[in-house]
Amino acid sequence: MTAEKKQSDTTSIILDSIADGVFTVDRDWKIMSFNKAAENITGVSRKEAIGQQCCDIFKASICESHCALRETLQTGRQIINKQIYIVNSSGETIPISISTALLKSKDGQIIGGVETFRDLSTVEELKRQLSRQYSFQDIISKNKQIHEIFDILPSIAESDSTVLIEGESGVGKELFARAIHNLSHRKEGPLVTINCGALPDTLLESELFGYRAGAFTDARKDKPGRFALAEGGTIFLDEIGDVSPALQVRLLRVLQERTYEPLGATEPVRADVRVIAATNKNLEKQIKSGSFRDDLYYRINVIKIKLPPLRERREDIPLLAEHFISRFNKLKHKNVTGLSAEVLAILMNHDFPGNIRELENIIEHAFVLNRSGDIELRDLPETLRPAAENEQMGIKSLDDIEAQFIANILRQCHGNQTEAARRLGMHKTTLWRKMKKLGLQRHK
Amino acid sequence: MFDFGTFLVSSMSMNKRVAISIWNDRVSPVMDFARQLAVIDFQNDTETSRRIIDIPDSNHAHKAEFIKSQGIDLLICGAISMPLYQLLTACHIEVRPFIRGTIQDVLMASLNNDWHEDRFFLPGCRRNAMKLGGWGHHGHGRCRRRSKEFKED
Repeated sequence: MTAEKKQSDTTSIILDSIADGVFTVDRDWKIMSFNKAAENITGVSRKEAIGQQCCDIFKASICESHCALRETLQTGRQIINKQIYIVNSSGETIPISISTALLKSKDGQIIGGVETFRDLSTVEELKRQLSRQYSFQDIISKNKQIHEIFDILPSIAESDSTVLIEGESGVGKELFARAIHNLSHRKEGPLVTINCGALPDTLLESELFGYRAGAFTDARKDKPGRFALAEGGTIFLDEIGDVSPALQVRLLRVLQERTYEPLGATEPVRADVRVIAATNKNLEKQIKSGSFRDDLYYRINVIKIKLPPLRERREDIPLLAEHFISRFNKLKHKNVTGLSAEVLAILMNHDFPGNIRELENIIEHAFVLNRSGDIELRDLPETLRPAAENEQMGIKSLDDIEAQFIANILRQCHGNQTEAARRLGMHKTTLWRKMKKLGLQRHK
Repeated sequence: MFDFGTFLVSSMSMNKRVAISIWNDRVSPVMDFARQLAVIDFQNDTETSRRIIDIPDSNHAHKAEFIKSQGIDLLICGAISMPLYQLLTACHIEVRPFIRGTIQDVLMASLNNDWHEDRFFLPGCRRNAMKLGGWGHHGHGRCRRRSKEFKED
């Protein structure tokens, strides 16, 4: 082995042992070396990357406009810790920090550039957890009903009208409220959230509208309410169905006249706030029973978004599970690879009364017990395990899982194949073909 | 401005408006950050118009809205994030992602519905491209280029 070859092997071992991605390019932007971490972060193997144009491999936010390597090669200046985004081979957007430098030959000639990059996903995820800055991009679904909502969401956001989001607990109502806010012209303003069901009536009133000094015994100075805090932005009134009739009158006034009076104030205050309300209750039923004012209902029901429960969008369960696994892997520094076939079958057949939040909790529970590899039956919460033990009987292959899943949907649709196909997100002839292949009898 | 020539095609099942996200005469590496689209109209057997439009520097939803407002039926692009892909497909736009190459080559491959060569796919992305692009099911039919003339810059 020549000394040069030996040195090159040593360099490549060193490069592969570091956690940061490293690649080098020649003066034609062709990749000359690509380390292990670069493979992991980009999702492209070294074999596929070598010799290719770096923009086809790196797929970064700056490739077209402000290529850092180009700047370094042109000016000779190093760039250190610039934050950008790349899109990996799975379509995930990954925040990274890059540094660049010139690559010189032994005689000092510039032969290309070197770029190192660090995956910041964990840091960004932690930041988002702390600030709860989830957005439209965090809504994951291939369900038709949700896609129809995606389609109209930008128009809803732009309209500035009051929105009512209906859906069971845990379906992601707040995520959609955030999405509407972030897509609207009010996005630079605040988004203030308040759970109307979590506070007693008197406290809720002062929380919403604030109070003036002297309004009651302990009110020594003015306290702005949530409406004041949301000025120029959006207020998200969660669980609006739990508001008392007295407070409903005050909310109605805000929506009608765009003014409110803080407790103890003598003058009304104007409110430039968009209202998004959400409920897990059937407000129309509440109107009939007299517990919710119909005039308030018509005020908040300008645009209504109805979010389907997870059991009606089962096709999203694997996607969402994958998303939570990826998130918990980052947050908990684990290497869980996915769900075992048995666990997937259990989840696909579970009704999820707690919806997506329940799925998230199941995955988090599994993360406590599992360090790496697939999530197995033993990692599931006990409440799912008896079902799990029964369900695993007879599961031998992916076809079994598919057959069980389709049979379950057909059962829910009382044998209506058109409805079942709609829920499964496939054409009814595809369903018919699958049923035939899997030996499923038409449900009677 | 480049000229990607005039195509005469047959077997076009319907009138189509095809868009390719472009950068320097090539497919832009990432749709999310692309700045321009080449928009090509096909009517019956013939390419009827082509133009280059700027993509607004905005969020995903507005980009999808904009592309929808241009009446695009098929979008050919480089890498794409799942949120943008979901939005575009929600707008009933057929998306062929993770594509690379010169505009001429990609347009030819699209017209002939001939994508078998690896050179058309971003390295390491072919599987995802096939999965998301719905290859073979929603293509605009096998089209034969009637004219051999193909003008390049």
